[in-house]
Amino acid sequence: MQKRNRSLVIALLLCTTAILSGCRGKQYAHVLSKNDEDMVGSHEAGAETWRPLIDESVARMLGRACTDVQTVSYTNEHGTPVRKVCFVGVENHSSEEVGDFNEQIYEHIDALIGQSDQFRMISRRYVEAAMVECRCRPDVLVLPEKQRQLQAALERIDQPFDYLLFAKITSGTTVSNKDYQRDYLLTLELLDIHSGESLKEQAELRKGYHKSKLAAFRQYGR
Amino acid sequence: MHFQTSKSIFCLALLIVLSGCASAHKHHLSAIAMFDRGEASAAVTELEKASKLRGGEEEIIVVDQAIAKLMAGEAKSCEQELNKVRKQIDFLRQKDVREQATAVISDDHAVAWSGREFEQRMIDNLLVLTSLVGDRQDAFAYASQGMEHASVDRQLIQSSSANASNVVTVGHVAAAQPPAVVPDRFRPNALTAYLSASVHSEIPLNANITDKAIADVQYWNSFAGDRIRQNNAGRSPIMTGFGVNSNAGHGVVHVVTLVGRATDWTAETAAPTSAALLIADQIISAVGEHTLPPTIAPVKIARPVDEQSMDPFVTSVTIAGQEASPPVFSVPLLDINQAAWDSYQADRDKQIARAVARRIVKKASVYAAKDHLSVSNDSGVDLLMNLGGIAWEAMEKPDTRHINLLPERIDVLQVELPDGVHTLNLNASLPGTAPRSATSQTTVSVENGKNTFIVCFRTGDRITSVISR
Repeated sequence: MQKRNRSLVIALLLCTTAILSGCRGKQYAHVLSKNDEDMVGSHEAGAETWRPLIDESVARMLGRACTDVQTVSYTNEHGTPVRKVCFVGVENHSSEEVGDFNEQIYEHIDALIGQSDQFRMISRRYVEAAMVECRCRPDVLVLPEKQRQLQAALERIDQPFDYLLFAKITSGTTVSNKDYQRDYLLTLELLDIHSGESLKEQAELRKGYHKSKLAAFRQYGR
Repeated sequence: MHFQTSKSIFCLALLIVLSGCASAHKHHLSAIAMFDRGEASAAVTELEKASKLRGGEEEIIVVDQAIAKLMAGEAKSCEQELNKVRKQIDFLRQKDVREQATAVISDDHAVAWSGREFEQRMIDNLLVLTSLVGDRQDAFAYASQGMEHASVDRQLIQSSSANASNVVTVGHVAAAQPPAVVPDRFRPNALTAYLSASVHSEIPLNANITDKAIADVQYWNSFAGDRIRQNNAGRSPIMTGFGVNSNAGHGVVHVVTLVGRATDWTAETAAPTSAALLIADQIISAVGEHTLPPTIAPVKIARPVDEQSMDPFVTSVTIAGQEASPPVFSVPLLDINQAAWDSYQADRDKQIARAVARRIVKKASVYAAKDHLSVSNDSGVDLLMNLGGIAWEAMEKPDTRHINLLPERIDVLQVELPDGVHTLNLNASLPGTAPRSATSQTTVSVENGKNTFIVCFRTGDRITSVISR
């Protein structure tokens, strides 16, 4: 009887240790198919946030571009006016680190807008080289002198532009005890360097962060 | 007869294993001495010998070997070794049931070494640094990974300080707001931010990321305390222009000095604290039906030898041909000895708790064995079992394993130079005084709007190695 008790204690001891310690496992990865949903970032924004924000804001921007009166110095072979755009980067003014998404956000916006026949994006390589040459930062490009310097630098390499495109990420956080809601806003601003007028479009996505599934259920009923 | 043969084989195997370990340890120690003398290639060879003889702490030897290789100017090879060992450490960081169980009946050495937090962060930092003095191919990725860790650390600090003050933060959180207390063990993040700033500063479109990283250097370095601020009086600030923040037609040369060698760890006899006893109680409640005895004798734990870097020297740089102009002096960016000390203090109660729990399990096992065998109190077997129990407890060793060749401090300086090839004179000196060491010269190619990195190894007032791209 005593022996059986001891065996039981040992078995229990081993089980508890196993549960408490866990096991060391090799990392595993798999390729997602087109139908698989994006993973939802548990602590910050990820693909599930940035992808729809980019798609929506770019679509709105292209939609507005069809209807608005525009200043252009170039038309294509069908006579359609084409905006020559210098995209000067993504500014992160949110409370989260964007991390490696920063480059992806730039590339996605650049590629999506570039697909439209109403826009001609100047290659990022030209833009960067010109900005290094005139030591321009994106945030000072609203100053006429800096604008002229950048324009001159790009014209020297045969890449003149009519518009500056700024992308900006902002966030707003609402805290309710241990849970919080974060609203992400991606703003695209197309600045006409000839008239100084700007065209602004944005997309918003809201996300709830909770300490547990139960907390999410309590708040949203799912 | 059969029993005797088995016993002989066992003794022989034990002798081989032990002599192997001793010999590997000897090679490791001689490699450390060579490193201190600046004999990098010889240190690499010794570490190679050590790695062939020992299996247990292979990861420590590999990291040490990588650092020695960097000193020897083999940046690419160093990067490969660090990359490999980082993956292995990520794997070993997960808990393993068998090791945890063995640790309860032996000591913390039973758990595979995966480094303390500050050591893991330093491996990440060394990866960025080696890439920057090497082919730079993966510097961006390493810097991003480092900043992700720093971000997690920041959240941890902010949540713990919020919990401590019991105040709920509402609304937008400013990224670089310094919290009330930032523990020293997170100090390696200052170097992470510095390197990230230098990587991003070459991309004009990433100006805001650069600004954020520069602000982060101050954030992680602000807790360096008055000592560094006093040292900096009258000297150049930690950060000047980076990359495209320099003047047109200029680039920036960064001299990163790896000063000396990080503190060794030693055994400390520690009296159990109330917090440690509470944790110990939780451990032993989880592993059996034991209870804590009312009094417990002190236990052995690991502690760093030095609390902070005491090296008084700085690295100074002059440009060849412009010796008349005043030298630029380095400033401390992070003190790894302080990070180690803080890491020890943060983990002290847990270390004591593990040792206390082990002692209780061992004592309980001896008593259980005596009960099972019905050993009477005054018998010889009782004495033997008591002695065996004491020997079992005495075999425990505190976990003093650490990366031996990490520097004790990292100093940085920046020099803005025009586009072109320049020769720099590097010296060691006391702040603001004339050089004390022989001049080490190195030639670098400076590009417009770019950063050029020089890694300098210095032991006291002697520059032992200078690596540049």
